[in-house]
Amino acid sequence: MNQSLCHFLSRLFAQELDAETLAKVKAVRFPETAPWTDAGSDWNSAAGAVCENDLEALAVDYARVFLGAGLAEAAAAFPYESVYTSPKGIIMQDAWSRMREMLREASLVISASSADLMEDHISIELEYLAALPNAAQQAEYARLHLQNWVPRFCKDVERFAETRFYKAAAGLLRVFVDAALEDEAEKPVPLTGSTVASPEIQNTAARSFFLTGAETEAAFQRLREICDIYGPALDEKGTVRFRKLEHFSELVNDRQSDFSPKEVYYPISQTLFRFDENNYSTAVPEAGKPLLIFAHPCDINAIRRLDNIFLKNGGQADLYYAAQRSRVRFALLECPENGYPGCWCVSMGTNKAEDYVLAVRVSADGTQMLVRDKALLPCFAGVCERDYAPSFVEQNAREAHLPRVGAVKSLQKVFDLEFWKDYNNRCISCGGCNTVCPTCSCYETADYLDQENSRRGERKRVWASCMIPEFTRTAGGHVARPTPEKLMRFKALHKVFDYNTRFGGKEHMCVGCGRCVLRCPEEIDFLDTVNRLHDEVEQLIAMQEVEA
Amino acid sequence: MTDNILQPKPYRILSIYQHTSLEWTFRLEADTTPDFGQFYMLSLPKVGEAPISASGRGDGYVEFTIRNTGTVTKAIFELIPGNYIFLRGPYGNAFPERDFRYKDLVIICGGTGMSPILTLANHFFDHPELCKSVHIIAGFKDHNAVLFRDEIEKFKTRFDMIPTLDTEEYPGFEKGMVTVHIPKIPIRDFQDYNIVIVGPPVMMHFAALECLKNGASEEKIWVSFERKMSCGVGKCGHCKIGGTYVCLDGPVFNYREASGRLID
Repeated sequence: MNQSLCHFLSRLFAQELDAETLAKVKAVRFPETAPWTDAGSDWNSAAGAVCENDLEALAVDYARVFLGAGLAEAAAAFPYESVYTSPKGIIMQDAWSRMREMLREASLVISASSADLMEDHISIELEYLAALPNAAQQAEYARLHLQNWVPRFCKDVERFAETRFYKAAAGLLRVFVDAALEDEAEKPVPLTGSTVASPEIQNTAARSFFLTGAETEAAFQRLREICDIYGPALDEKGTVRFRKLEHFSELVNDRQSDFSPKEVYYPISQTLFRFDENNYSTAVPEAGKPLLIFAHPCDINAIRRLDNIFLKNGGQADLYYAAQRSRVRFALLECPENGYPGCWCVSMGTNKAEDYVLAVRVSADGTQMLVRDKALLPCFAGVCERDYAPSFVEQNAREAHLPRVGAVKSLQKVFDLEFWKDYNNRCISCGGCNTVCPTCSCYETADYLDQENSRRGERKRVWASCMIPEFTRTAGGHVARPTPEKLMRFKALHKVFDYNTRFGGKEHMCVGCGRCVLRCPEEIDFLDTVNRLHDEVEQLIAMQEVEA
Repeated sequence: MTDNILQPKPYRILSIYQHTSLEWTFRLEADTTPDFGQFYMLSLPKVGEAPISASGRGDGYVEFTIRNTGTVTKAIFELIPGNYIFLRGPYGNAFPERDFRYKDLVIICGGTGMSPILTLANHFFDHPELCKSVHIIAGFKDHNAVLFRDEIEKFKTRFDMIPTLDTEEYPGFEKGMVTVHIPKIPIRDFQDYNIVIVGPPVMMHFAALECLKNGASEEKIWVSFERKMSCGVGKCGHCKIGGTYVCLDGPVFNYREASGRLID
């Protein structure tokens, strides 16, 4: 396969043309013979005709066709495999999940400079193709992930684009995916030594550095230029929360943060719609720089739980979450050797994380960092390289024994266990545990009126707590779970049983960060709850076996 | 570019029918057809959003029978024909009408629980050839609380229709809870049948037990759940019962499945 052509096509669809790419475009000519024929000749005449003055018109066409700007969605060609392969024709569906998984498995990450592209974007898929080691794998990948949708995508581009240029680019892409993949190696290649920057996915066999205190701060400031950086830091009340950081020194790394990072990408309160009496208009979440979040492995793993709820459950993605989520990048913050005293991540399998672009170990004499994203490397210019790979907690002081609820034949028996009733005297239903939990995702909505014009307002969603009886109150007044006993049982089973059952049995919702234990004003220890449930469930199973 | 799955759209009110002072049916001009037992999220700017079952459907319209009880419904009661209500949906699963065909059907409902079964009952009323027999027990608190009087009278002409008032003697109605009347239905004589129960949780619980006592099997009973919901699409978490999302996996459940697994 022609690697540089693959990168070139990837670049054409990744973003609008700039002057540098334009120069390349004008230089590239295709043979007008098979397999290129018409596509080659269309390109040659369209690309030959574009000039600097056309850049704006091309950018407008790009935004219309590929971003759907100012258009009803039906008249755009969204360059995502999910859009062309999911039943509802929307982004972030199965194809996206598969691409995410494949990139992760191949240790490839999308660079921060292309952070707005999702994993199943045509450009990322082409880059992935180019990164595959041999022709057989490339052909197999193209069959499964390109030939299944790119022809239809190209047809849409040819239909909806107003410029000859993008129609021609789509023509090239179609021939490339259809026919030119295999035999291109033997043919004279129309492109050589491309210097055009295409969106990058990098191998994570990346570079590591040792930074003194001053160098750390300097690198941090350079990172701030390309990312909004968040991390655990003290607020004015002495609480450690995930806040936007201005200096590396603000980072609190000697204790578990009181709150989790979820408030960065799933705000406590978020406007969904602005309305007047006749209309609801979507409050489009702001686009912006990547959000680089310094977090421990438990929290990096926690985001997958939220992804399952907001992007997958019910087969449809939540627009607001998806927008914010696509900006998130993690900087893995190493934990103390056995974690913090109150965590049990090893039991939950969340002690190790893979999804990060940067890893950090802070010590008395300086900072070690592993950089897995080429786009971040310039921030480390001039810094001394030294081997470093993050180490992970292998043993916690505390251990969870996960209850085998599914092995009990009658779920009712688990519900009828006496110990649940203890919580009626202990839990005050404050909901604090839900608030600090990195995986609690429930919300409710409320309408707020504009102070100045009572005909306008906003519909917001705010976090909701399942530990409060109001959580299930219907308009008619029925409350499904009125007592702390029922509320605690619901939460506990959700965290260590039913989420796991619903989402494929691979992971539990609880990541063992231990924040709920620290938070509880009544000193209810959730790990004790889990372990007690485990013991009770084992007894039920033993009795079951005796009866059998 | 992702569809906003939470986006409500305006639908015009065509007419309003008042059953009681508290329960009115709103007919909206709509291009959407709910399946039997499905619900929509109804929304009013400044007020909020709430899940409501469709109680009627027809060419170009959909109907909602609403009890004036919460903040959203209270505001809806101030609207007049020509005004707009915002909708998204339909959501949830439906009664398996195809499985109900050519068999005996028993419907037991209480209060506003009558509205989710109405599209189903009307369907078999309009297509009597699709059903062997239909028996309906509809319970209300007293005669002031009776809903769908016209429908009840209509159903009497073709179905075994038992309207009943919990504690009151009143012309045209039986007296007593729905459970009192269940033994009147010859469940044991049916060759194949289905039983649909919709109403307040306590009523559904005892009605199901009474059906079992009268020879019904668990897998022949279907219930529909009412839950608080803020989204209707599996995100907000309010309607969860264990690992089950009522908005996605329900609101209709087979009783065998519900009784073993859907515990609060």
